[in-house]
Amino acid sequence: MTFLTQLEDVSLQQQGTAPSFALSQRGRSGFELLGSVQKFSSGTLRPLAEESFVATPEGKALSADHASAAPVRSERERIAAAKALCASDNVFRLERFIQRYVAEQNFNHGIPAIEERRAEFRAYEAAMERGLLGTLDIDVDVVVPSYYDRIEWHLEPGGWDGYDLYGALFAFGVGPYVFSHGGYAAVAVGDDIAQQRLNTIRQFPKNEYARIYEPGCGGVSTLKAVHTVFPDAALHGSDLSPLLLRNGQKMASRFGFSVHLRLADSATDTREADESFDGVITYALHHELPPKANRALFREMYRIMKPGADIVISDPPPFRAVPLFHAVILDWDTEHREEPFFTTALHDSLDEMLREAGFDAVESYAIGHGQYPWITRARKPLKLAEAA
Amino acid sequence: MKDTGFDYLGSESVTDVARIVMALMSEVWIMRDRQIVTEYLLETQESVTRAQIDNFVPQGELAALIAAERDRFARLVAGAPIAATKRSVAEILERAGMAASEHAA
Repeated sequence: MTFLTQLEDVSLQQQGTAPSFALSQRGRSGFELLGSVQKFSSGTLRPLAEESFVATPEGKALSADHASAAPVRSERERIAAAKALCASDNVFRLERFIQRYVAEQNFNHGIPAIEERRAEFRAYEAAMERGLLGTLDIDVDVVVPSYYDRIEWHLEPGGWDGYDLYGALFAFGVGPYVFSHGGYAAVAVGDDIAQQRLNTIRQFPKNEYARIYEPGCGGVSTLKAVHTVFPDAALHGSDLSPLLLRNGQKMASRFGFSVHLRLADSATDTREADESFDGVITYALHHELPPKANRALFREMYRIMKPGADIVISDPPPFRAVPLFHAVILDWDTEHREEPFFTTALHDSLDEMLREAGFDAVESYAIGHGQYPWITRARKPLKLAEAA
Repeated sequence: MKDTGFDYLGSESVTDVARIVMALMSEVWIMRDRQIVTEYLLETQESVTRAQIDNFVPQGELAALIAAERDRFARLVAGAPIAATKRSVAEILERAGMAASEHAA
């Protein structure tokens, strides 16, 4: 699930709809420092820690075993041993401390920075509520799954809906000043996350799609990329967060495209018709679901997809696809950035889950630095009668 | 060894101390940024108000200058622990945001 983080997009300025106010000097400069510190941490300290790790005989042996086609130790054993070795390095611990600190400060600094401008942000949001495009269906009772309830994803106080101006916090603070440098979670330092989304959408194998669906669409950052690549496609999405969905419709309208959003648990019931979509996109979703929910979600996607429809997925790379030191970095998020299913998801195989759900033409590959974005794509088979 | 008094925090509190240092680092930077903005506004206009400083968003060359200064600040402060061992002339100059001279090893 993702927030729209590109409010400074030039297309908004061209339309004259960019906000006419900014964060205070304190708010802006504090965010900017977080970005610089995170960039230093992931761009300078982390390579030093990796260098030390692979220079030790134990690190070298573990890395070789991890890369082997027939490893002696299990994946969990290799990562556990590598974690212990990394933890003995002062530079590694400093790098991880800074990562944690920035993740905390995104909110500890960010919420007061946004609150300073509450009146302006509320007025800006109110103006966005006029002339909304598409539809928003959130007046329904949806049973919130127990795995989702009470989790403060990414250390976000109160969870996705914990603060009414989280949309502004990401669009005006964390997005442009911190995330824009990359160097957090699976995103490599210097990577452009907006471009990564576009590159992901370009993995759809056909040139045109009439109807595309995104489970866990959040604030529609990914649907915006879908609209850029497939401007004629009808865009539908669902999420468990009413706040994200409301913000998503407002932002899409602000950018001039239409979305049809529903409050729904897409792992159990999207409330969409059988065989009604030509494509499905998921972005940074599956590592936020337990395995059982992922399998259920793929079954539900299979149901709503037309025969011959394509599914494209971008999620952090599985542990098997990255060097062992990088696996330790990814694994760390589970305990330290409130990502309870990260490790489980990266040990698992989305490829296998898709096959279990009935998909074919399953393949997975990387399209960026550090094996991210990691793409998994597949197709719902044509019906046997039609195929014959 | 000389007694330094009761150990109130204990060695397990080093992370708390690091958080204090990082919070101070942020406050120092926010003031440094404010100083640069204030100097810029005073250079480009006769007087400046608190509201002008609060609402000012650096653009263009000034934004680039502040970004370079901020990155240097982050390298020097957050990188202080590695400065104990990464001590070649080139590394020292790099942390300071200066190009290595012909005298750098």
